[in-house]
Amino acid sequence: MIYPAAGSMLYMLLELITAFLFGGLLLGLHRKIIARIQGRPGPPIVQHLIHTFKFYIKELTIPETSSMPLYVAIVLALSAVWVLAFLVGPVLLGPFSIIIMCYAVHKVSEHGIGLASGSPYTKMGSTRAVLSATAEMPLIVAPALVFFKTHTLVLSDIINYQILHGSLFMDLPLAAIATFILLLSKTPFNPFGIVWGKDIVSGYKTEHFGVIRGVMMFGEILGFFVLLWCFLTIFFGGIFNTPLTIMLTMIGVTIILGFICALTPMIAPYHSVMIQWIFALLALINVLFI
Amino acid sequence: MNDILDLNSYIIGHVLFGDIVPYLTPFSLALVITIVVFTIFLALSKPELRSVTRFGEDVVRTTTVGKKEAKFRRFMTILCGVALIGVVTTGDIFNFTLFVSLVGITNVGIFAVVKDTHVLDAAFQYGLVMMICSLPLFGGVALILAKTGTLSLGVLAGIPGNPVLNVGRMLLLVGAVGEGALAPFFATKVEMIRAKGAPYINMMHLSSLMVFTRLIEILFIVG
Repeated sequence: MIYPAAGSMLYMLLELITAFLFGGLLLGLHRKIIARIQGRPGPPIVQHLIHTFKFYIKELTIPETSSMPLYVAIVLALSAVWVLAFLVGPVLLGPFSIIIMCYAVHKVSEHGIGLASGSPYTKMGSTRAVLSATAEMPLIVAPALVFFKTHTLVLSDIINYQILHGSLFMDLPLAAIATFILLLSKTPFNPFGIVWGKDIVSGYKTEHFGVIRGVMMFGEILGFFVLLWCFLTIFFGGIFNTPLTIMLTMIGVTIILGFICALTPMIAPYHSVMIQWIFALLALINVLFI
Repeated sequence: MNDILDLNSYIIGHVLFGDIVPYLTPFSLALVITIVVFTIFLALSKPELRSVTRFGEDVVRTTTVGKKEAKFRRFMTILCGVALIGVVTTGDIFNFTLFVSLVGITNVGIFAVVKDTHVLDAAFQYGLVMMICSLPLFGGVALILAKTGTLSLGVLAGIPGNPVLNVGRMLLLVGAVGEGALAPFFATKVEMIRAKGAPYINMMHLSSLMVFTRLIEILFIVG
């Protein structure tokens, strides 16, 4: 049997498909756990993937009030940045700064998706996306602390550092917790998910259906996978550095996220920002240990 | 150069121009591609028809952006994109501050022709923040120059940190945060995005986050 060479286009494509399927199953597991905690049977674990595929065969509707071609292009941008983040992160172990950039563009895309339709609901979602962008302090504090500790932001070097000196979680526990809060804020049904709150229908996604909704969900699944992988690699890279251990740990972290999302209500927008800032400022205490 | 390599793994290319060395790394290349793609799409997009509802009225109104207004705002959006490319590719901190200032000016320009009192008030306040923050922005750079004798990032990357450089970095941070409408100076930005004209408004958010990501890299490199 012939296997594709590591680093080849085919190899990257296979990894991308694997990550998408695995990420989709993780989000399905997440929904299942929430349902079981709330005393419901819940959908099957593959439901999130089926839900995503379903949109690819649904009719595409574009509102007359929308800003074209931004309405479609911005969704493609959201998915493209997570594909880039996946290739730079889990596949090539390249600079973490590019993943930070991808995250920033994700926030811009959320804003753009909400603005482009002309609907007041999506507009409110996009306004909250701008507001919540200020809550991403952990994303800045954590890499800064990692850089000051390891003197590198290249992922392969960070992993090597942890293999030699032990996991960074032991040195930077508060930074790890702040990053976990950031990861939580990107999980569906999380207490900080003000951008897609049900009080504004579905937030910035309200007007996007059909194939572009499917593309959006593809990007979100990949984004969840990449953020989960980054969290485990940066803080537990000394322990979990094989595909099997990383996948098993991802399942474990998803279960924890499921418990948190099931047991906490959605917080008001300003409180959401404030709580994330508190965790980021607490992480700065780790400066004392560097 | 060590810090630049530690952050970006390798340098794709550079242009030797005295001690001013614009360089391209995988990180800055990704930023440039993102900015170019976004600028093209935002410039090509037509403004949305914004639906507006009001309390006490059982009607939904749609508002439009006039042709003349759209033309000027599109021009400012493209100019902002060009300034952003300068921000992410320059290898000189003084050029960085100039491009960041230009980004701020074009951001105000995007909103200056909107005929809405709230938006114009917010743009005016953002302009005040920008003017105030230009002092720490250029003051920080002046301090770094006075201490090290250079503004080239390639040279600064090899100079060990010291208290004066740290003060310079802090001033640069405050200045760029104000110019780029980032937290905690972002309150006016949230008011400004109440304006109609989706493609142009999105450029302001993009510029803020691109300035921010580049700023982090520069703060790591200096000292």
